[in-house]
Amino acid sequence: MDRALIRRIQNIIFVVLTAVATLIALTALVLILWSLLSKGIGGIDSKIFTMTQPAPGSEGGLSNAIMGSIMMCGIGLLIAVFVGILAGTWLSEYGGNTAYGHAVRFLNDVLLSAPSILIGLFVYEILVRPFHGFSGWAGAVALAILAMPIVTRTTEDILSLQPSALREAGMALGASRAFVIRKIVWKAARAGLVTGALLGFARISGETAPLLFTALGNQFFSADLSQPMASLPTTIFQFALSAYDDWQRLAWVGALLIAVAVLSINIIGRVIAREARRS
Amino acid sequence: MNDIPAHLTEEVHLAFPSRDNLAIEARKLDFFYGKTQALYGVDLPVERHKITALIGPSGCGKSTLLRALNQIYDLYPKQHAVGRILLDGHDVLADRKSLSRLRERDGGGDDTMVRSPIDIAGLRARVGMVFQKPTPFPMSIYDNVAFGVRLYQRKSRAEMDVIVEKALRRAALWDEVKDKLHSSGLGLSGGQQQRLCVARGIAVEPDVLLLDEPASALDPVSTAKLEETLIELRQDFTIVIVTHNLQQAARISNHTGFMYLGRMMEFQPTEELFANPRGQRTRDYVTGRFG
Ligand SMILES: Nc1ncnc2c1ncn2[C@@H]1O[C@H](COP(=O)(O)OP(=O)(O)OP(=O)(O)O)[C@@H](O)[C@H]1O
Ligand SMILES: [Mg+2]
Repeated sequence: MDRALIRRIQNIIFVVLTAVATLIALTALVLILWSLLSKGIGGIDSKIFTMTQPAPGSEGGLSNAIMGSIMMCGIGLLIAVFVGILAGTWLSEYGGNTAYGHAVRFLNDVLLSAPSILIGLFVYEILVRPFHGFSGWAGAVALAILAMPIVTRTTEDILSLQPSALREAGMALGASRAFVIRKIVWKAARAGLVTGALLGFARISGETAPLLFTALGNQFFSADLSQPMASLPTTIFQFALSAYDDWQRLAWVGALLIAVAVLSINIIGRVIAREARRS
Repeated sequence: MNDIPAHLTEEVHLAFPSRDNLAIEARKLDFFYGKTQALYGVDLPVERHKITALIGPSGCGKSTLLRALNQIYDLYPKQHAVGRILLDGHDVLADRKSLSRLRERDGGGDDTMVRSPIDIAGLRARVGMVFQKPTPFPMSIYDNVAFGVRLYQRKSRAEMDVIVEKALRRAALWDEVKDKLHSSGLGLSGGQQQRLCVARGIAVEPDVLLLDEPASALDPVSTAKLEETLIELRQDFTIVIVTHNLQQAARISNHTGFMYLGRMMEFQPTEELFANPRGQRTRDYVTGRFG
């Protein structure tokens, strides 16, 4: 057989393989979305947002879980973005090449891939046991620890991509290093920084295990972070495993809500990133 | 390490201008990237309100010399300079290692030279720099120009408008951007971005403007515009320009220094250096017999 033919056959095999793999991935995604939509959309009504979780057989919604998720994810992400951006900035701009910097980067990468149940256990030991109780704060901290390494990593990567000429140009005008970072480097990298925060959010929005250890869950509506707090993932976990039809239906609605939230936050983030790049 | 490279012992031909009217001056400047020495006892007198050009083959230390003059190398802990940099006669080399090594090298030095209290930010305010690649900041054209001014002075909106317009006019960019001052500086063409960087540099009214191959990324039309701008600017500023374009050096500069492997081999009034180069290496370089 001549080489050209062999190469053409190899090429065809490769194209078919990649196409099949793409198809498999897409099919899985479509099936997930389809089951979420078909089982979840029917259950969405105003009660979902206004009523708390019901006893089996009675009317109710998910307002306590929605509230808890928003609060704990929001606070967790806020802490993670604050710490992560500063830590990533330090790694990229100041200490990244010192021995300490290498150690920090290594530990951050370990944390990045740590199983979330470990994080839950850790926060349980430092924030739940000593204070004799599950709390929204503990949940938020667990989520923060999960999102932090992602934000740190993306921040360092994206800042390292900024040309050193940009920093030098700022310094050449007489600005201090910190000023150049805040006013020029962060600004040049803001689309990437937003992406980091989004990745962090995507990671924590569906986390269940760490919340079971820390916020536990709460069948009543509560915005008190010092008390146990409901969340969508823990409620889904509890309801989906139950024997009651109406609870199972609510679990599907909850899952759909998480998916929609992740999707819309991603879209919003992309729009922000695009705007940032344009201006 | 003990063999001395040939060019370090060759005769140099330095016809320096009188020291009375220098804006900035490097004296016996050594520069190190870690352990690698990149400049060997370089002298560079820069006359006020003149354009001084630096030419020489790639890697000879032109950029290093410019970066030493406003101490931008200070960002990188492994780089340091030894020698003197005089701004209006005050030694401003803020490199802390420099003083002790200077004593070591020159045996005490002359104690008449008093270290001035100019700090590094103050130095950079007086010695501006424009880089080879345009470096507009990710902000509006207006804010780009105002950036440096805002570091030092609090100005009213109206005062700032005047400063920004003046800087843009002097950089020959005003007519092209006056209708879009508040759109992003990143949206300009390469040549416009480079003139924006010039405007940003002169808005703080520095004494000296250092330009490192500012036209290397520009087309002939933008280059011609930039050259006109520089000739205009000479009235108010002192300019040092690094260029690979010998015609450009010949067209716009008053003095030209030829560097070779970290050493200042020849320094002459520009016509003199091009018409009648003294050193063999200079002659080879300006006649194009040499890479
Ligand atoms: N960051 C650095 N680290 C180590 N060595 C460097 C560094 N920058 C430059 N050098 C070395 O210093 C010497 C002078 O470099 P410099 O950039 O000043 O040359 P140049 O004259 O500006 O060259 P070009 O015309 O190519 O821009 C070169 O030998 C170069 O390899
Ligand atoms: Mg150079």
